[in-house]
Amino acid sequence: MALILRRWAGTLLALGVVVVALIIGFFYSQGSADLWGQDRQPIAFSHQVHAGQLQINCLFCHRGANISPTASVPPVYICMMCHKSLKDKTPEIDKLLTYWNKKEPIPWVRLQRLPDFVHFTHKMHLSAGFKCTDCHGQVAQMSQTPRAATYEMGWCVRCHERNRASKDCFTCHY
Amino acid sequence: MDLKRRDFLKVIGATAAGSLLPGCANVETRKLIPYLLPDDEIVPGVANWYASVCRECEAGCGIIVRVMEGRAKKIEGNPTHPLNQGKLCAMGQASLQGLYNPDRIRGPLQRDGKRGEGKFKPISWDDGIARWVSELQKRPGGAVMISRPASGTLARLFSEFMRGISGELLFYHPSEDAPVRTANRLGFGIDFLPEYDLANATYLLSFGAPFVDHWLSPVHFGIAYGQMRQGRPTVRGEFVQVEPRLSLTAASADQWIPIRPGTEGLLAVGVGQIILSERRARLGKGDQKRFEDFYTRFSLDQIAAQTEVPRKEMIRLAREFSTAAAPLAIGGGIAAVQTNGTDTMMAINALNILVGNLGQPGGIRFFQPAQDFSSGEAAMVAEQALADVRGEFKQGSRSVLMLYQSNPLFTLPPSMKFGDVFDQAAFIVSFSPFMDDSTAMADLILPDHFFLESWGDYAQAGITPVPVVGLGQPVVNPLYDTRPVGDLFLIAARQYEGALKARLSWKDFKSMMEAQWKSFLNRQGVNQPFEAAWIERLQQGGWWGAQGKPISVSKRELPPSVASARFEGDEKTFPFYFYPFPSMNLHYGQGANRPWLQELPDTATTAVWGSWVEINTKTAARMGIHTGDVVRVISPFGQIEAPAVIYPGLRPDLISVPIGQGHTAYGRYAKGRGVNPLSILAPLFDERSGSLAAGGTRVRIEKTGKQGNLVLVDQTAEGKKRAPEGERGEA
Amino acid sequence: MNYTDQNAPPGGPYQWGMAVDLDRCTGCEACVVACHAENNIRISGEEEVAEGRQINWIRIERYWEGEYPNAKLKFMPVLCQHCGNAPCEPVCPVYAAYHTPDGLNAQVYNRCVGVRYCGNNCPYSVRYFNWFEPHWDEPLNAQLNPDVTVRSVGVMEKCTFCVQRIRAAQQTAQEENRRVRDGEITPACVQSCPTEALVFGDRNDPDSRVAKLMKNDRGFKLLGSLGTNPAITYLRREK
Repeated sequence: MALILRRWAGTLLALGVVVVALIIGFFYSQGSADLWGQDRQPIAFSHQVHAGQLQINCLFCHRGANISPTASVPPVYICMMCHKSLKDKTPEIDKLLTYWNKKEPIPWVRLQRLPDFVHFTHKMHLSAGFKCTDCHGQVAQMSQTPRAATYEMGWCVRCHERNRASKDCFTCHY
Repeated sequence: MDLKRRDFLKVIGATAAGSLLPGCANVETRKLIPYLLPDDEIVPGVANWYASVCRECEAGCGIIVRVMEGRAKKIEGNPTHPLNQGKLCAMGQASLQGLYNPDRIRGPLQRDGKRGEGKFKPISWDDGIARWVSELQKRPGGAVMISRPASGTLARLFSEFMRGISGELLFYHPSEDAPVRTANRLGFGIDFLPEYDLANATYLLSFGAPFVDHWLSPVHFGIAYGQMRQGRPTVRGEFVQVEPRLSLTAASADQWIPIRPGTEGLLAVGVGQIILSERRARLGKGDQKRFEDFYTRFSLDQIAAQTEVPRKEMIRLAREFSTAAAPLAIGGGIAAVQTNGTDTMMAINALNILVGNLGQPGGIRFFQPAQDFSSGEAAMVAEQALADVRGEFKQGSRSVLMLYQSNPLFTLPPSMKFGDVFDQAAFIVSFSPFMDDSTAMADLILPDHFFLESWGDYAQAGITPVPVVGLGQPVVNPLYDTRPVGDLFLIAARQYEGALKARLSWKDFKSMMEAQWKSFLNRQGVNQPFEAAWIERLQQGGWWGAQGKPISVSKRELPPSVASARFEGDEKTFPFYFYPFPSMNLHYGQGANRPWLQELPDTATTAVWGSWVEINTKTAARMGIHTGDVVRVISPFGQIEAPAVIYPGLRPDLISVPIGQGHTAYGRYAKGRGVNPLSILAPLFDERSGSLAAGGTRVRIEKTGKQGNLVLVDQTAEGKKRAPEGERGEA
Repeated sequence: MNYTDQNAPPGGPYQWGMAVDLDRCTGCEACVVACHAENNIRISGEEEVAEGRQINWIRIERYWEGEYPNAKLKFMPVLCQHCGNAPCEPVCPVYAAYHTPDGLNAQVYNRCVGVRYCGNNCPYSVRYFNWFEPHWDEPLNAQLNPDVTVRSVGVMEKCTFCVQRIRAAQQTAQEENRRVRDGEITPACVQSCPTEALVFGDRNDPDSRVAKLMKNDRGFKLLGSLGTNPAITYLRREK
């Protein structure tokens, strides 16, 4: 072939591809909301106020946790149970009221999602005696809500090992 | 090129690394949308089960539907429903694909263009209903309604309404069951069906009854069959199937007798005569002489010649049947859809009388159904009644056609010229949720909910040993802008003055049902306040009573005559008998728009997604036909073409084609697929029941030279079979 | 909860198994559709079925024997046998196919890389590969079961004995500090079968229906001579 390349052309090409990959990966990870999500919630809900100061039980809002595989996010009605009669108005509470009055559910940004092929069930873990904070961290002290753990498989398996629960793949991956 | 290997590897490595970019994340998975208001019943991730009644066929099995977050996920049989006891057939399982079918009618439509062009435009509900009622009121006494059989509250509503407007109501569904019911009525004087106690029988002699996949109530008889075979520790019921084509049911039999079509009644008479002559009958004194007079009229040798069942065989059958501890004879299927269908069924019933199994376990027992649940007066009719309807439209005494989940353009042969009704009718309205072949010809479509979105009640007319009224409730919110047909009729009733408006004064169908149930439960002696009792009935899926004693049957009529059936088409030009059979997955075509059912391999041939022509092995060899060759089946009234399948379980002089395909409308999965064998049938009827004698048309077959693309699951892409025919399986 | 590992309940591990009574089976195929509905099995469509790509985790194999008028039509439901000595397990390079402590032959979708050696090795041809991305015309996808993974292209799949139902029952049992009872778990096929030809249960429990049926005279293993040690016992049709 007649193409004559300089000696460093190959290295430059390789570097270029890696840089492009990094740039694309950066933008991709933006979308995953993992690292950045907590700044992007439609309303700056503070667990520290609700779970911490007001000592509201986790299950009051996340009602599915002890009866369902999914803990579930509370219906807007639950928020309004208190907020419809509170006199304090902050810009964030105003946002809540706007959603309620427009009859729109609040489009929370997902912080983390287990893939489809993982069948995790909250109910089972609560029955086993775990507390919400065991996995989700000291939520009552969080004003934003970053992930408390990686929620990756290794993290799950280590806890299963410690507690002598099933480590068989087909327990969760089916 | 100067690119060294080392650099080349670097480039490839980096490219590979760079190309490991994951796919873009879905926008939807980034949001977490809560409810606005909590739902009392919905817990995300946890299923609710609602009881209802399946409406895929006319059996009415009880079902429970698994619903998660407002979506129906799975249907199972209702464990406490006496008919199906927690079990369900393939069609019932597939009804979810009816609910979520992409081609459901999503709102009221009116015809745009000429009738038959299939063009529709949306119309509002108010305008649609107003138009329907004004067409009715313009033509008093001119309306005919052809509806699938309804029972309970809906039947009463339809009856009252049609009577109130001097219209005619016909409950019709294509089936092979009409002669069975008529034989019951004429023979025993009873309108409802007995319990055919297969489960406790020790010898089952079935003349064509296809109880595995579509006779009366396939799930119920499937349960009974399992019990008959292996449900008792020391007894295994014996089972003989007598029919010209080895059906799926016959495949489970211990013996298959390939009788000549249309002569099943004669065989029953022959067997009965032998039972009598060998003094093995258990008749009451009053019947002895009458039965002897009847049976001695027939010659066994003639019967053997006509049925092609050797005398020795008949004697063996007679002996086995009459000496069994609990013998039971049933009939249906191809034996019923002949011109002598009812007589044949009566002759089969006579066998039961001969062995004295009426009222006995393992025999035929009549139990009173929930008759005090008012069901309206319209009776079920068969095809011949629709021929009368055609006459009425021709004369002009009727001019408005109303269709409710009935598809006569598909299920009636064109030789009956029922299409004339669709040409002549001044106004046609359909309430079907699907654009089936007949609905596509309507002027106005006011779509009903799918049954999983509907209220309804379904009284069992026999078969179960206890009285049963199933209760259907919506398990999901309506997906589209459809309305319950009952609501529409009540709205229409309000537009009339006088008695009709007064009698049908409920504000909607649900209220009418609740009123019906309130008085029904009262009559059953239920003490609870209605609201609580209603919730209990809904949770159970209906009401069923305790088992009473079998009704004693005083009438035991013999068939008025027993002879071979008549066939249309001379034997020379049309040398073959022809049997279009309801296919196990599509029945009479209702299932054709559910992809699961289209993809369900026909058990005997493994064919999917199409039609085929079954030909006996030797016949095919003689004519040089191979599986896959397209053949033409020609009758005196039409012709169809489909790929052939060699079918060892078929008389050499019989051709059979499954019913269910050949739709001209009915959605993307059904339209334009396969052929409809009903389309070549002669307008022949069993006079006593009015049923279409679907087995009475003779045909001839021709090779077309074309290769079809019938898909058989047991063939690889190269067309070679995976398991050669005739190779001994392990079963 | 008394015990921490749902696969190690008091009384020893479970060994799931099935009995298929061919004297009861009528070939009605209710099991086939029930399985499709429960397990999100894709609709292949006419062309793909013609290429042999149809997926039926349970299928009715049929055999014609003899000639008219003595022709016999015989069939048997064939599904993954969950072999104790499975030919598909040792050949998976990424350990996606393996045997669980409770007797199931597991297929872990996220491990599978699409080698298809397992499918090749299966003597019963009960392993199915997703040659194409599954597609459901809207709104048929509203029916999909959230408890079962929707497999994407490139992944092997097969009958799991409705493991989602097994795990759900095991979880309930664990919460109630007991073993799973006989009859508490019915895979979709078993639940729908009108004739009760299919029976499912714990082979380790001598009182279970399935354990008793396994000892029946009519019992045989499909292709038993191959030594795969299936968890399913077929009961021969009586003559």
